[in-house]
Amino acid sequence: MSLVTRPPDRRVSIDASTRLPVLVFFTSAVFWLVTGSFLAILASIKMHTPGFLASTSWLTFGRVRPAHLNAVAYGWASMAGIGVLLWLMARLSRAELRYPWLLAVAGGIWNVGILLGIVGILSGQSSGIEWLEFPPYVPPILVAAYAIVGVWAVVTFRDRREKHVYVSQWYLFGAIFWFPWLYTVTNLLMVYQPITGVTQASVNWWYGHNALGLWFTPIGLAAAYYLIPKVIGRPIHSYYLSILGFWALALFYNWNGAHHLIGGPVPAWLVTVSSVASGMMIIPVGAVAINHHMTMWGYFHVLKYSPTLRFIVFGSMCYTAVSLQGMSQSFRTLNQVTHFTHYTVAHAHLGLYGFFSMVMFGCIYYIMPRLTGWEWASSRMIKIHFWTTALGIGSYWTILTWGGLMQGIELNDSDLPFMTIMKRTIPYLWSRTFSGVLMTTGHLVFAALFAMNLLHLGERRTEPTLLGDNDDNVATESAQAPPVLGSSH
Amino acid sequence: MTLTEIIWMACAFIFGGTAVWGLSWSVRAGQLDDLNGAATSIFDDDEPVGLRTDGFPTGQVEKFR
Repeated sequence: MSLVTRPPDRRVSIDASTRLPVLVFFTSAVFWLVTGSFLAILASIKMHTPGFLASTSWLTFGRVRPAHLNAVAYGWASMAGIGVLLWLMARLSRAELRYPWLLAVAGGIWNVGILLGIVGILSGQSSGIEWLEFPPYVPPILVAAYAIVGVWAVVTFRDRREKHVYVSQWYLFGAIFWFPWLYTVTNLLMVYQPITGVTQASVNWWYGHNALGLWFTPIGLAAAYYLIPKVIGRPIHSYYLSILGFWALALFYNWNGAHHLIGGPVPAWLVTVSSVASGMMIIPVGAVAINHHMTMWGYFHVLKYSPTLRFIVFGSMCYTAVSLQGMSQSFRTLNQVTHFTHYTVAHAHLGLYGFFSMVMFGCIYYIMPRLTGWEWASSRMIKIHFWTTALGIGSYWTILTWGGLMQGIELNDSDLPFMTIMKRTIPYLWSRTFSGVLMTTGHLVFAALFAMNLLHLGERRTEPTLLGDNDDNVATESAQAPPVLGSSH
Repeated sequence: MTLTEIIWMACAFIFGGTAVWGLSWSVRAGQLDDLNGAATSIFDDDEPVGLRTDGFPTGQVEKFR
């Protein structure tokens, strides 16, 4: 039953069954990505030029910044993630999605929630709870939309024709079951029946950290565990390690959130337990890192050609980096320097952007042509997208990590006036805006490519749009490679 | 106990329980018996091991458009 032959068009019909909902989720995701990027630039400019657009209450920093976070976290990342989740679940189960329109409706409801939420935040109705700033009327809308997605993913799994549950499906189930738990319980305890005191902070960071580790991370890793072997045509290095890694993540991650409260008025044991669990994350992270690296071993040249692989391997490398960095930040000695500095901001972006968003880009490059029957219009535009975003997040992280360290060391020096320290961060903040503009440029190019694919613009192509494949488009990225529009090779 | 407490505790047991159940099911169902075979379950005759798939799915998508 498992590895048996089947008509070659079975996979195609499975892909086709996911078309409507996945396209709805992807299109919305790209829209929110661009929206979120502009909100990010606004917020970033205000960090070094506080007077910028400060007279409009809707565009003040306290509103624009959470609007950015929620637009990219729930608009871009979650919607791209749900699209990938649905497609992967159908493919790995080797089962068509039933009633795909129902999932498209879920996508519509989710969008209504995000729109109301962003407008709500900008109009001053933010709940003030980090990662859950949407006004109280929004979470039920998102929960309703999510319920359809979650139930339907399980229904698709129950229809499965593939007997083996691949490691990616375990990760997907992690996301499917853990997100509703986190989201509903935290909203209940923070928004509807607020608990008080330090418990509130503990619950807040239980959610804030787990949203990354138990919602986004499993989807990103599921995609990497499927697409890296699939693109290069080689099974993952150690299946044993991959399964070990999943269950270690399931066991340890949930404890990590309290390390955000180091130095805060919470019981010391809570923080210590959290630091220990954060250290234990070396097991799942090491398992993933070794596995992805060893699977790629001998195949790194494929990165030159495959857009999917290039984005996903970049993302996977960032996953290893951001996880190791996160572990180090959970130790009190480093944390007492970096806490409340730009260092943490750099870390967060390496996770949600360097890892998760880059993996999502890679997935979309793989999935879209299989849904629209239309190839990507231009390999040059894909390269621009890759290099602007990769260099953008690279410089963003490097600059803010260094700036944050300096800031943290200075803040611990009681002889230095606070204003002096703040002023010294300004050059870093300008560089951060520059990096943001770089990434946003990439997003606009990506959005254009995405729209061209969706609307079948450009010339019809029957060959894949690879990055260095055609003979006039040789190895180096700077080569003046004409986009292989319509050229046959 | 308030209703909120009942809800969050129930959630912890239900969702935590599904993970424990999932692990024990995977052992009982023999999911972990053949790990090498499992790694190749994403391949098939149509897209076998050794085939790079980052290509345009020529001629296949057309049928379903």
